[in-house]
Amino acid sequence: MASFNAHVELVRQNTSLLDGMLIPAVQQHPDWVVTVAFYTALHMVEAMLFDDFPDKHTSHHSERHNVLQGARYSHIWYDYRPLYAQSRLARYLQTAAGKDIASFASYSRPNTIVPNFIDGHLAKVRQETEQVIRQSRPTFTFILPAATVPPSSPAIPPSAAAGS
Amino acid sequence: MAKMPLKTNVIRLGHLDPKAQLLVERDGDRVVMTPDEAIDACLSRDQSKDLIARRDLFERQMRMLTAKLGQWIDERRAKVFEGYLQTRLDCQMFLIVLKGDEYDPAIEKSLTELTIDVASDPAFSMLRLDVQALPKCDTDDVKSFIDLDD
Repeated sequence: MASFNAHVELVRQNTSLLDGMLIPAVQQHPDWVVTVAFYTALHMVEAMLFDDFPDKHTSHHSERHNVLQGARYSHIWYDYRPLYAQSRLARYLQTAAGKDIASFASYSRPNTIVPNFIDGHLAKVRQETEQVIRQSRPTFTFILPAATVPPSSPAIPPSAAAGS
Repeated sequence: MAKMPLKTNVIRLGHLDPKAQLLVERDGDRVVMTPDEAIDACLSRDQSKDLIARRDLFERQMRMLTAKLGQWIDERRAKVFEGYLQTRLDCQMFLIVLKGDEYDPAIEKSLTELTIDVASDPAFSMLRLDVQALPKCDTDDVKSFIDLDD
C-alpha cells in the first residue's frame, strides 16, 4: 500500500464498519467481527511499520510475523497473533450440520468476542501501535472523535441535500 | 571457494583456451570437458558442501523443535488432544487440536510465547514457527489447515 495515510484510512473505515454494523450483529456474525478486527489490526501494524520500519512495508503475513516477533515489536505480537489465529479459524473452520464438531460460534462464543478481541486484543494493538507512531507524530490517533452537529444547525432541505 | 597460494606446477584452468578439451580419468571412467565445465564442476562441488551443511543444520534444528513442541504438548495433556507439525515453504506450522470446544486464552498465550521463543533463540535460526489451535474437531477440519497427505 502506498502511504501511511492509506493504512490509517482503512483502519478508520474498518472501525466504522465494526462499530456501526458488525459489533451490534455479533450474535449473528462473530466470524466477520473477528475477521474485520484482524484486518483492522493489520493496517494499524502496517501504518506503524511505514513510520518505524526501514522497509516501510511487509508484503505478506509471514514477513509481517517475522518482523513482529522481533524484540522491538514483540509486545504487539502478543495481541496481534490471537487476532490472526481467530480470523484464520473463522475463515477455515468448517461447519457441518448434524456432526458433533465445533463451529466457530461454539468455539469463540459470540458474547466473548467483543471483550476478548475488540476491547481486548484489538484495543491493545491500537494502543501499542499508536505509541510507536507518536514517536514521530506526537498527536496521532487512529480514531477521530465522532463529528458532532450543533443542535442549532439548520436541517438541510432534501432538495439541497440531493444537490439540485 | 577457499583461496590458496598457487604453486608454479598448478594448471590454471581459467588460462586455458576455452575450447580446449580436458580428459579426466578416475577408476576407469573417462570424462571429457572444457575448462569452463571443469571450473563449474569445482564451484558446484563447493556449493553442494554448503547445501549439505545447511541441510544438516536444518535437520538438527527440526529435531530440537520437535522435542520442544512434544514437551509443550506433554505439559498440557489435560487440554491438548493432538498436535501436528508441518514444514511449509516459509515456516513450520504447529497445529494443535484441543480436547475442549471453547477458546482457551491460556493456551493461546502459551502458543504466542512459543513463537517468540523460537524466533529469539539462535538455536532455531533456520526456522520460523506458525501456530494454530483448533477446537475439538474431526479430520476434515484439520485438513482445512494442514495438508495431511504431506
